[in-house]
Amino acid sequence: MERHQEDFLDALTLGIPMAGAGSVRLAHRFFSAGRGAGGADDALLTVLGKATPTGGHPNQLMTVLDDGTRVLFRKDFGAQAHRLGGSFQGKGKVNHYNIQLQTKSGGHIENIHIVPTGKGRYTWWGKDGVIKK
Amino acid sequence: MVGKGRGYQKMKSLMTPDIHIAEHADDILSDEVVTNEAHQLLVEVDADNKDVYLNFSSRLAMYDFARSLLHEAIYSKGGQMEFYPLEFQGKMEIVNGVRMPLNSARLFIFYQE
Repeated sequence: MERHQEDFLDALTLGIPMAGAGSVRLAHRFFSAGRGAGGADDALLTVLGKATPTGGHPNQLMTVLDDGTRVLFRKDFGAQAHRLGGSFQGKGKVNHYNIQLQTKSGGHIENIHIVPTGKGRYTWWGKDGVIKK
Repeated sequence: MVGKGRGYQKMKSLMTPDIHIAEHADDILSDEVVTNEAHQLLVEVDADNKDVYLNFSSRLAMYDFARSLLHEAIYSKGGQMEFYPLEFQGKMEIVNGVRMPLNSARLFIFYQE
């Protein structure tokens, strides 16, 4: 795996939480892309391995699945950090990772925010609220 | 900017005042906006007085952006939308209903769930 993908590994190797419709959408899409015998985690890492850097952001990768779904991995730390909604409302700019699923025309399917909460732990938050702590 | 003439008339014909927002996200945008990179939104911020400028290159870009907001307001959960420039394999891509040039500021929308 190349260096630009390693930036995401800390947050992603804890696995996709299997709770809530959002994570099911993620897992379903990743299974389709991974086509492997492994679980959702393997599929996620497979998809991450295929992602390549984009323009417009210094720490963003994207790949397109066989069905046209776009998968973006983004690291919004430091200068790219920004305010979040949901349970992070009112907490100012928050360092976080994103895993986004978009339709082939850029429509919004899912937007997972992975927020480091200290001591190697992360909160996963998406359309269904907090799906993993 | 996208100019006037026949192309302008065609664009106007794509902007019906009778709007139906289907739940399926693929139906929000016009094929014209999806396929023509000329349709863009440039967001600029004046750091001195905090004015924010939304510069749409075409009425159709603004129309489809509005449809995207309507879809979010009616159907979506999550409490926020993010808009940002996205270039992939040499193409400027659409994110959440709008295509932004590389020099655009990002745009964030928050709403109560």
